[in-house]
Amino acid sequence: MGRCFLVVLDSVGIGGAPDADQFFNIDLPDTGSNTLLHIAQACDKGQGDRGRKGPLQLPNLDRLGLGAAVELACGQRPPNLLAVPEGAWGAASETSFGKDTPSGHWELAGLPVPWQWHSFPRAQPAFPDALVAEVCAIAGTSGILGIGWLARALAMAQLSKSPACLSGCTGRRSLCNSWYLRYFGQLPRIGNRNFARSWRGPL
Amino acid sequence: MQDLGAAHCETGQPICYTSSDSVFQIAAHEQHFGLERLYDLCAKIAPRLHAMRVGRVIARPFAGEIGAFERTGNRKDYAMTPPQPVLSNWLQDAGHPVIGIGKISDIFSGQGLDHSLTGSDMVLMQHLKDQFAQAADGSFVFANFVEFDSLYGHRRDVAGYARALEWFDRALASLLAAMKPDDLLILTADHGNDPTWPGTDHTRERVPVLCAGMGPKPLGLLGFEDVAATVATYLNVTPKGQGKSFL
Repeated sequence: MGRCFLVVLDSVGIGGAPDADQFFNIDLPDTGSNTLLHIAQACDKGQGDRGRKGPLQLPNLDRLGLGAAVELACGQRPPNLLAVPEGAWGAASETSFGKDTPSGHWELAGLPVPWQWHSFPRAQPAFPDALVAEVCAIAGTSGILGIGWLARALAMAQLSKSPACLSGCTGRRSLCNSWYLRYFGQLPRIGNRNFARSWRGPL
Repeated sequence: MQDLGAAHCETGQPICYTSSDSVFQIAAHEQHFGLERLYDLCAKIAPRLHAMRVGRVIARPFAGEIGAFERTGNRKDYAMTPPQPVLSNWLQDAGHPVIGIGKISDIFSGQGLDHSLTGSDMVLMQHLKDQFAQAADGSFVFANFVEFDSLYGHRRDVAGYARALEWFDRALASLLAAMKPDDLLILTADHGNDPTWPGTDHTRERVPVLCAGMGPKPLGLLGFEDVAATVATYLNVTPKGQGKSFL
Protein backbone atom coordinates (compact mmCIF):
# COMPACT_ATOMS: atom_id res chain seq x y z
CA MET A 1 0.00 0.00 0.00
CA GLY A 2 1.22 3.51 -0.78
CA ARG A 3 1.23 6.60 1.42
CA CYS A 4 -1.03 9.62 1.26
CA PHE A 5 0.19 13.20 1.71
CA LEU A 6 -2.37 15.96 2.23
CA VAL A 7 -0.77 19.39 2.07
CA VAL A 8 -2.75 22.54 2.91
CA LEU A 9 -1.41 25.80 1.50
CA ASP A 10 -2.98 28.08 4.08
CA SER A 11 -5.19 30.76 2.48
CA VAL A 12 -4.34 29.98 -1.17
CA GLY A 13 -7.89 30.48 -2.44
CA ILE A 14 -8.97 30.66 -6.09
CA GLY A 15 -12.13 32.81 -5.89
CA GLY A 16 -15.63 31.97 -7.05
CA ALA A 17 -17.19 30.94 -3.71
CA PRO A 18 -20.95 30.93 -4.34
CA ASP A 19 -21.62 32.39 -0.86
CA ALA A 20 -18.84 35.01 -0.83
CA ASP A 21 -21.43 37.79 -0.46
CA GLN A 22 -22.21 36.53 3.05
CA PHE A 23 -18.63 37.07 4.27
CA PHE A 24 -16.99 40.42 4.89
CA ASN A 25 -13.82 42.41 5.35
CA ILE A 26 -14.88 45.31 7.58
CA ASP A 27 -18.26 45.85 5.86
CA LEU A 28 -17.28 44.96 2.29
CA PRO A 29 -18.51 41.57 1.02
CA ASP A 30 -15.85 39.11 -0.17
CA THR A 31 -17.57 38.81 -3.57
CA GLY A 32 -14.86 38.88 -6.25
CA SER A 33 -11.97 38.20 -3.88
CA ASN A 34 -9.48 35.79 -5.44
CA THR A 35 -6.13 35.27 -3.78
CA LEU A 36 -4.33 33.40 -6.55
CA LEU A 37 -5.83 35.24 -9.53
CA HIS A 38 -5.18 38.70 -8.09
CA ILE A 39 -1.58 37.86 -7.15
CA ALA A 40 -0.96 36.53 -10.67
CA GLN A 41 -2.54 39.64 -12.20
CA ALA A 42 -0.57 42.00 -9.98
CA CYS A 43 2.71 40.22 -10.76
CA ASP A 44 1.90 40.31 -14.45
CA LYS A 45 1.61 44.10 -14.24
CA GLY A 46 4.95 44.39 -12.42
CA GLN A 47 3.29 45.06 -9.07
CA GLY A 48 4.96 42.12 -7.35
CA ASP A 49 8.57 43.15 -7.89
CA ARG A 50 9.99 43.11 -4.38
CA GLY A 51 12.42 40.31 -3.58
CA ARG A 52 11.28 38.73 -6.84
CA LYS A 53 10.42 39.93 -10.34
CA GLY A 54 7.95 39.62 -13.19
CA PRO A 55 5.03 37.29 -13.87
CA LEU A 56 4.15 34.64 -11.25
CA GLN A 57 6.25 31.51 -11.88
CA LEU A 58 4.53 28.36 -10.59
CA PRO A 59 5.40 25.74 -13.23
CA ASN A 60 4.97 22.69 -10.95
CA LEU A 61 1.63 23.69 -9.43
CA ASP A 62 0.43 24.72 -12.86
CA ARG A 63 1.48 21.39 -14.37
CA LEU A 64 -0.75 19.68 -11.80
CA GLY A 65 -3.66 21.90 -12.88
CA LEU A 66 -3.58 25.12 -10.80
CA GLY A 67 -4.33 27.51 -13.68
CA ALA A 68 -7.15 25.26 -14.90
CA ALA A 69 -8.56 25.03 -11.34
CA VAL A 70 -8.62 28.83 -11.02
CA GLU A 71 -10.48 29.09 -14.32
CA LEU A 72 -12.97 26.44 -13.17
CA ALA A 73 -13.54 28.24 -9.87
CA CYS A 74 -14.00 31.77 -11.14
CA GLY A 75 -14.16 31.79 -14.96
CA GLN A 76 -10.84 33.55 -15.50
CA ARG A 77 -7.46 32.04 -16.38
CA PRO A 78 -4.64 33.67 -14.39
CA PRO A 79 -1.79 35.13 -16.46
CA ASN A 80 1.25 32.86 -16.85
CA LEU A 81 -0.62 29.78 -15.52
CA LEU A 82 -1.57 28.30 -18.87
CA ALA A 83 -0.33 24.70 -18.68
CA VAL A 84 -2.37 21.72 -19.88
CA PRO A 85 -2.95 19.79 -16.60
CA GLU A 86 -1.02 16.58 -16.08
CA GLY A 87 -2.47 15.94 -12.62
CA ALA A 88 -6.00 15.46 -11.28
CA TRP A 89 -7.43 18.91 -10.62
CA GLY A 90 -10.60 20.51 -9.34
CA ALA A 91 -12.01 23.35 -7.22
CA ALA A 92 -13.70 22.79 -3.86
CA SER A 93 -16.33 24.82 -1.98
CA GLU A 94 -16.78 24.93 1.79
CA THR A 95 -20.16 24.45 3.47
CA SER A 96 -19.20 25.48 7.04
CA PHE A 97 -20.27 29.02 7.75
CA GLY A 98 -16.80 30.21 8.66
CA LYS A 99 -13.78 31.30 6.63
CA ASP A 100 -11.36 30.49 9.43
CA THR A 101 -8.57 27.94 9.78
CA PRO A 102 -10.36 25.38 12.01
CA SER A 103 -13.55 25.38 9.88
CA GLY A 104 -11.55 24.82 6.70
CA HIS A 105 -9.38 22.06 8.12
CA TRP A 106 -12.17 20.26 10.00
CA GLU A 107 -14.25 20.14 6.83
CA LEU A 108 -11.27 18.96 4.73
CA ALA A 109 -10.95 16.22 7.38
CA GLY A 110 -14.61 15.24 6.93
CA LEU A 111 -16.29 17.29 9.65
CA PRO A 112 -18.16 20.42 8.50
CA VAL A 113 -18.59 22.75 11.47
CA PRO A 114 -22.26 22.62 12.43
CA TRP A 115 -22.25 25.95 14.26
CA GLN A 116 -21.14 29.50 13.72
CA TRP A 117 -18.03 30.31 15.76
CA HIS A 118 -18.60 33.04 18.28
CA SER A 119 -16.67 36.26 17.80
CA PHE A 120 -16.86 38.94 20.46
CA PRO A 121 -18.58 42.20 19.47
CA ARG A 122 -16.54 45.21 18.43
CA ALA A 123 -18.51 47.47 20.76
CA GLN A 124 -17.34 47.86 24.35
CA PRO A 125 -17.61 45.98 26.58
CA ALA A 126 -16.59 43.15 24.28
CA PHE A 127 -16.67 40.51 27.03
CA PRO A 128 -19.75 39.58 29.07
CA ASP A 129 -19.59 40.37 32.80
CA ALA A 130 -20.01 36.74 33.84
CA LEU A 131 -16.97 35.71 31.77
CA VAL A 132 -14.87 38.51 33.24
CA ALA A 133 -15.94 37.50 36.75
CA GLU A 134 -14.87 33.92 36.08
CA VAL A 135 -11.46 34.98 34.75
CA CYS A 136 -10.99 37.11 37.88
CA ALA A 137 -12.02 34.26 40.17
CA ILE A 138 -9.52 31.85 38.57
CA ALA A 139 -6.72 34.42 38.40
CA GLY A 140 -7.42 35.71 41.91
CA THR A 141 -7.52 39.32 40.75
CA SER A 142 -10.07 42.09 41.26
CA GLY A 143 -10.37 42.79 37.53
CA ILE A 144 -8.93 42.34 34.05
CA LEU A 145 -7.29 44.78 31.71
CA GLY A 146 -9.93 44.07 29.10
CA ILE A 147 -9.52 45.88 25.84
CA GLY A 148 -11.78 43.89 23.55
CA TRP A 149 -10.87 44.32 19.94
CA LEU A 150 -7.17 44.90 19.55
CA ALA A 151 -7.15 44.25 15.82
CA ARG A 152 -9.67 46.98 15.02
CA ALA A 153 -7.27 49.89 15.39
CA LEU A 154 -4.53 47.92 13.67
CA ALA A 155 -6.81 46.99 10.82
CA MET A 156 -7.85 50.59 10.27
CA ALA A 157 -4.23 51.76 10.36
CA GLN A 158 -3.33 49.17 7.75
CA LEU A 159 -6.32 50.05 5.60
CA SER A 160 -5.13 53.60 5.28
CA LYS A 161 -1.76 52.31 4.07
CA SER A 162 -3.18 49.63 1.81
CA PRO A 163 -1.48 49.43 -1.61
CA ALA A 164 -4.98 49.34 -3.12
CA CYS A 165 -5.49 52.90 -1.92
CA LEU A 166 -4.04 54.94 -4.73
CA SER A 167 -4.83 58.39 -3.44
CA GLY A 168 -3.35 58.01 0.03
CA CYS A 169 -6.82 58.42 1.47
CA THR A 170 -7.56 57.39 5.02
CA GLY A 171 -11.36 57.12 5.04
CA ARG A 172 -12.97 53.82 4.24
CA ARG A 173 -15.31 55.32 1.67
CA SER A 174 -12.56 56.90 -0.40
CA LEU A 175 -10.52 53.73 -0.07
CA CYS A 176 -13.43 51.83 -1.53
CA ASN A 177 -13.62 54.25 -4.45
CA SER A 178 -10.04 53.85 -5.55
CA TRP A 179 -10.11 50.13 -4.92
CA TYR A 180 -13.29 49.60 -6.92
CA LEU A 181 -12.13 51.74 -9.82
CA ARG A 182 -8.90 49.84 -9.96
CA TYR A 183 -10.51 46.42 -10.05
CA PHE A 184 -13.70 47.21 -11.88
CA GLY A 185 -13.83 45.09 -15.00
CA GLN A 186 -11.49 42.51 -13.55
CA LEU A 187 -13.99 41.14 -11.10
CA PRO A 188 -15.26 37.73 -12.10
CA ARG A 189 -18.75 37.78 -13.53
CA ILE A 190 -19.99 35.66 -10.69
CA GLY A 191 -21.41 37.84 -7.95
CA ASN A 192 -20.75 41.16 -9.68
CA ARG A 193 -24.33 42.15 -9.13
CA ASN A 194 -24.06 41.46 -5.43
CA PHE A 195 -21.07 43.70 -5.24
CA ALA A 196 -22.75 46.46 -7.18
CA ARG A 197 -25.77 46.27 -4.93
CA SER A 198 -23.70 46.67 -1.81
CA TRP A 199 -21.76 49.52 -3.35
CA ARG A 200 -22.85 52.74 -1.70
CA GLY A 201 -20.23 55.26 -2.77
CA PRO A 202 -20.12 57.34 -5.98
CA LEU A 203 -18.62 55.71 -9.06
CA MET B 1 0.55 47.00 24.38
CA GLN B 2 3.41 48.69 26.25
CA ASP B 3 1.01 50.85 28.32
CA LEU B 4 -1.17 47.87 29.16
CA GLY B 5 1.92 45.89 30.10
CA ALA B 6 2.92 48.56 32.59
CA ALA B 7 -0.60 48.60 34.07
CA HIS B 8 -0.49 44.80 34.20
CA CYS B 9 2.77 44.79 36.17
CA GLU B 10 1.33 47.39 38.55
CA THR B 11 -2.10 45.78 39.18
CA GLY B 12 -1.33 42.10 38.51
CA GLN B 13 -4.46 41.89 36.35
CA PRO B 14 -4.34 39.74 33.17
CA ILE B 15 -4.75 41.49 29.79
CA CYS B 16 -7.67 40.00 27.83
CA TYR B 17 -8.28 40.80 24.16
CA THR B 18 -9.78 39.40 20.97
CA SER B 19 -9.94 39.99 17.20
CA SER B 20 -12.16 39.17 14.24
CA ASP B 21 -11.23 35.51 14.81
CA SER B 22 -13.09 33.40 17.31
CA VAL B 23 -10.43 33.77 20.02
CA PHE B 24 -9.98 34.86 23.62
CA GLN B 25 -6.37 35.84 24.23
CA ILE B 26 -4.74 36.40 27.61
CA ALA B 27 -1.44 38.24 27.86
CA ALA B 28 0.59 38.25 31.07
CA HIS B 29 4.17 38.86 32.17
CA GLU B 30 6.19 35.66 32.62
CA GLN B 31 7.79 36.84 35.87
CA HIS B 32 5.30 39.34 37.37
CA PHE B 33 2.26 37.13 36.74
CA GLY B 34 4.03 33.79 36.18
CA LEU B 35 4.04 31.55 33.10
CA GLU B 36 2.55 28.50 34.80
CA ARG B 37 -0.14 30.67 36.38
CA LEU B 38 -1.02 32.03 32.92
CA TYR B 39 -1.21 28.50 31.46
CA ASP B 40 -3.35 27.40 34.41
CA LEU B 41 -5.72 30.34 33.91
CA CYS B 42 -6.07 29.58 30.19
CA ALA B 43 -6.61 25.85 30.77
CA LYS B 44 -9.31 26.51 33.39
CA ILE B 45 -11.22 29.18 31.45
CA ALA B 46 -10.97 27.34 28.07
CA PRO B 47 -13.90 24.90 28.58
CA ARG B 48 -16.22 27.84 29.32
CA LEU B 49 -15.09 29.66 26.16
CA HIS B 50 -15.40 26.48 24.06
CA ALA B 51 -18.97 26.06 25.33
CA MET B 52 -19.62 29.58 24.00
CA ARG B 53 -18.31 28.35 20.57
CA VAL B 54 -15.16 30.41 20.93
CA GLY B 55 -12.64 28.30 19.03
CA ARG B 56 -9.44 29.04 20.91
CA VAL B 57 -8.00 30.49 24.09
CA ILE B 58 -4.43 31.66 23.55
CA ALA B 59 -1.84 32.28 26.28
CA ARG B 60 0.34 35.20 25.17
CA PRO B 61 3.23 35.53 27.64
CA PHE B 62 5.63 38.45 27.46
CA ALA B 63 8.78 39.42 29.34
CA GLY B 64 11.15 42.34 29.82
CA GLU B 65 11.09 45.64 31.65
CA ILE B 66 8.54 48.45 31.47
CA GLY B 67 8.85 50.22 28.13
CA ALA B 68 10.61 47.25 26.52
CA PHE B 69 8.17 44.34 26.81
CA GLU B 70 8.49 41.59 24.22
CA ARG B 71 6.44 38.51 23.48
CA THR B 72 8.26 35.30 24.30
CA GLY B 73 8.13 32.04 22.34
CA ASN B 74 5.90 30.43 24.98
CA ARG B 75 2.55 31.08 23.28
CA LYS B 76 0.14 28.21 23.92
CA ASP B 77 -3.18 27.47 22.20
CA TYR B 78 -6.17 25.82 23.89
CA ALA B 79 -8.30 24.83 20.89
CA MET B 80 -11.70 23.20 20.93
CA THR B 81 -11.58 19.47 20.33
CA PRO B 82 -13.56 18.41 17.23
CA PRO B 83 -16.94 17.09 18.45
CA GLN B 84 -16.70 13.97 16.29
CA PRO B 85 -13.88 11.79 14.92
CA VAL B 86 -12.12 13.24 11.87
CA LEU B 87 -10.05 11.76 9.04
CA SER B 88 -6.93 11.37 11.21
CA ASN B 89 -8.97 9.44 13.83
CA TRP B 90 -10.57 7.19 11.19
CA LEU B 91 -7.12 6.27 9.87
CA GLN B 92 -5.37 5.97 13.22
CA ASP B 93 -8.15 3.75 14.57
CA ALA B 94 -7.64 1.49 11.53
CA GLY B 95 -3.95 1.16 12.40
CA HIS B 96 -2.42 3.62 9.95
CA PRO B 97 0.50 5.82 11.06
CA VAL B 98 -0.64 9.48 11.08
CA ILE B 99 1.86 12.34 11.08
CA GLY B 100 0.94 16.01 11.48
CA ILE B 101 3.24 18.73 10.13
CA GLY B 102 2.86 22.39 11.14
CA LYS B 103 -0.18 23.60 13.06
CA ILE B 104 -2.29 20.50 12.29
CA SER B 105 -1.88 19.38 15.91
CA ASP B 106 -3.16 22.77 17.20
CA ILE B 107 -6.12 22.74 14.80
CA PHE B 108 -7.26 19.28 15.86
CA SER B 109 -6.28 19.65 19.50
CA GLY B 110 -3.70 16.88 19.04
CA GLN B 111 -6.40 14.35 18.02
CA GLY B 112 -5.53 11.34 15.92
CA LEU B 113 -1.82 12.05 15.47
CA ASP B 114 1.08 9.69 16.22
CA HIS B 115 3.66 12.44 15.73
CA SER B 116 3.59 16.19 15.27
CA LEU B 117 6.42 18.13 13.66
CA THR B 118 6.53 21.93 13.91
CA GLY B 119 8.67 24.92 12.91
CA SER B 120 8.82 27.67 10.31
CA ASP B 121 7.60 26.82 6.81
CA MET B 122 11.17 26.26 5.68
CA VAL B 123 11.67 23.76 8.52
CA LEU B 124 8.31 22.16 7.77
CA MET B 125 9.34 21.61 4.15
CA GLN B 126 12.36 19.67 5.35
CA HIS B 127 10.10 17.62 7.66
CA LEU B 128 7.82 16.91 4.71
CA LYS B 129 10.75 15.86 2.50
CA ASP B 130 11.92 13.57 5.31
CA GLN B 131 8.46 12.00 5.45
CA PHE B 132 8.49 11.42 1.69
CA ALA B 133 11.80 9.61 2.23
CA GLN B 134 10.90 7.71 5.44
CA ALA B 135 7.16 7.34 6.04
CA ALA B 136 6.04 3.72 6.25
CA ASP B 137 3.60 2.20 3.75
CA GLY B 138 0.01 3.12 4.61
CA SER B 139 1.00 6.37 6.37
CA PHE B 140 -1.08 9.52 6.24
CA VAL B 141 0.93 12.75 6.37
CA PHE B 142 -1.18 15.89 6.97
CA ALA B 143 0.74 19.17 6.55
CA ASN B 144 -0.11 22.85 6.78
CA PHE B 145 2.08 25.66 5.46
CA VAL B 146 0.84 28.74 7.30
CA GLU B 147 3.11 31.57 6.22
CA PHE B 148 1.17 32.42 3.04
CA ASP B 149 -1.60 33.46 5.41
CA SER B 150 0.18 34.68 8.54
CA LEU B 151 3.06 36.60 6.95
CA TYR B 152 1.61 37.80 3.65
CA GLY B 153 -2.18 37.44 3.36
CA HIS B 154 -3.16 39.30 6.52
CA ARG B 155 -0.50 41.90 5.85
CA ARG B 156 -1.79 42.39 2.30
CA ASP B 157 1.72 41.86 0.93
CA VAL B 158 1.35 40.81 -2.73
CA ALA B 159 5.07 40.52 -3.49
CA GLY B 160 5.75 38.55 -0.30
CA TYR B 161 2.85 36.19 -1.05
CA ALA B 162 4.10 35.67 -4.63
CA ARG B 163 7.61 34.99 -3.32
CA ALA B 164 6.26 32.38 -0.87
CA LEU B 165 4.24 30.67 -3.63
CA GLU B 166 7.29 30.54 -5.90
CA TRP B 167 9.38 29.12 -3.04
CA PHE B 168 6.78 26.42 -2.46
CA ASP B 169 6.60 25.62 -6.17
CA ARG B 170 10.37 25.09 -6.36
CA ALA B 171 10.26 22.80 -3.30
CA LEU B 172 7.32 20.92 -4.83
CA ALA B 173 9.60 19.72 -7.63
CA SER B 174 11.67 17.71 -5.16
CA LEU B 175 8.55 16.35 -3.42
CA LEU B 176 7.20 15.12 -6.76
CA ALA B 177 10.55 13.52 -7.50
CA ALA B 178 10.49 11.71 -4.13
CA MET B 179 7.06 10.12 -4.69
CA LYS B 180 6.89 6.33 -4.85
CA PRO B 181 4.70 4.62 -7.45
CA ASP B 182 1.78 4.01 -5.07
CA ASP B 183 1.82 7.42 -3.33
CA LEU B 184 -0.90 10.04 -3.56
CA LEU B 185 -0.20 13.74 -2.99
CA ILE B 186 -3.12 16.14 -2.61
CA LEU B 187 -2.54 19.91 -2.47
CA THR B 188 -5.37 22.15 -1.32
CA ALA B 189 -6.20 25.18 0.85
CA ASP B 190 -8.50 26.04 3.75
CA HIS B 191 -9.87 29.49 2.71
CA GLY B 192 -8.65 32.60 0.91
CA ASN B 193 -6.72 35.66 2.08
CA ASP B 194 -6.54 37.93 -0.97
CA PRO B 195 -3.62 40.34 -0.45
CA THR B 196 -5.18 42.86 -2.87
CA TRP B 197 -8.45 42.98 -0.90
CA PRO B 198 -9.46 45.75 1.56
CA GLY B 199 -9.26 44.90 5.27
CA THR B 200 -7.00 42.32 6.89
CA ASP B 201 -9.28 39.29 7.25
CA HIS B 202 -9.54 36.04 5.33
CA THR B 203 -11.65 35.99 2.15
CA ARG B 204 -14.36 33.43 1.33
CA GLU B 205 -13.19 31.56 -1.77
CA ARG B 206 -13.14 28.20 -3.44
CA VAL B 207 -9.85 26.30 -3.05
CA PRO B 208 -7.79 24.28 -5.52
CA VAL B 209 -7.58 20.48 -5.26
CA LEU B 210 -4.49 19.25 -7.12
CA CYS B 211 -3.37 15.62 -7.08
CA ALA B 212 -0.21 13.85 -8.15
CA GLY B 213 -0.26 10.08 -8.39
CA MET B 214 -3.61 9.63 -10.18
CA GLY B 215 -2.68 10.73 -13.68
CA PRO B 216 -4.43 13.54 -15.57
CA LYS B 217 -8.11 13.85 -14.65
CA PRO B 218 -10.55 16.78 -14.38
CA LEU B 219 -12.35 16.43 -11.03
CA GLY B 220 -14.78 19.30 -11.52
CA LEU B 221 -16.40 21.18 -8.65
CA LEU B 222 -15.95 19.41 -5.32
CA GLY B 223 -16.76 19.82 -1.64
CA PHE B 224 -14.10 20.11 1.08
CA GLU B 225 -15.36 16.83 2.57
CA ASP B 226 -14.56 14.97 -0.65
CA VAL B 227 -10.88 15.38 0.22
CA ALA B 228 -11.33 13.38 3.45
CA ALA B 229 -13.32 10.68 1.66
CA THR B 230 -10.63 10.40 -1.00
CA VAL B 231 -7.74 10.07 1.46
CA ALA B 232 -9.59 7.43 3.49
CA THR B 233 -10.60 5.47 0.40
CA TYR B 234 -7.07 5.59 -0.96
CA LEU B 235 -5.82 4.00 2.28
CA ASN B 236 -8.60 1.35 2.23
CA VAL B 237 -10.53 2.85 5.16
CA THR B 238 -14.28 3.46 4.89
CA PRO B 239 -14.91 7.21 5.06
CA LYS B 240 -17.51 8.63 7.44
CA GLY B 241 -19.60 11.67 6.66
CA GLN B 242 -21.03 13.05 3.44
CA GLY B 243 -17.90 13.34 1.28
CA LYS B 244 -17.48 11.38 -1.97
CA SER B 245 -14.13 10.00 -3.05
CA PHE B 246 -12.92 11.38 -6.38
CA LEU B 247 -10.51 8.49 -7.04
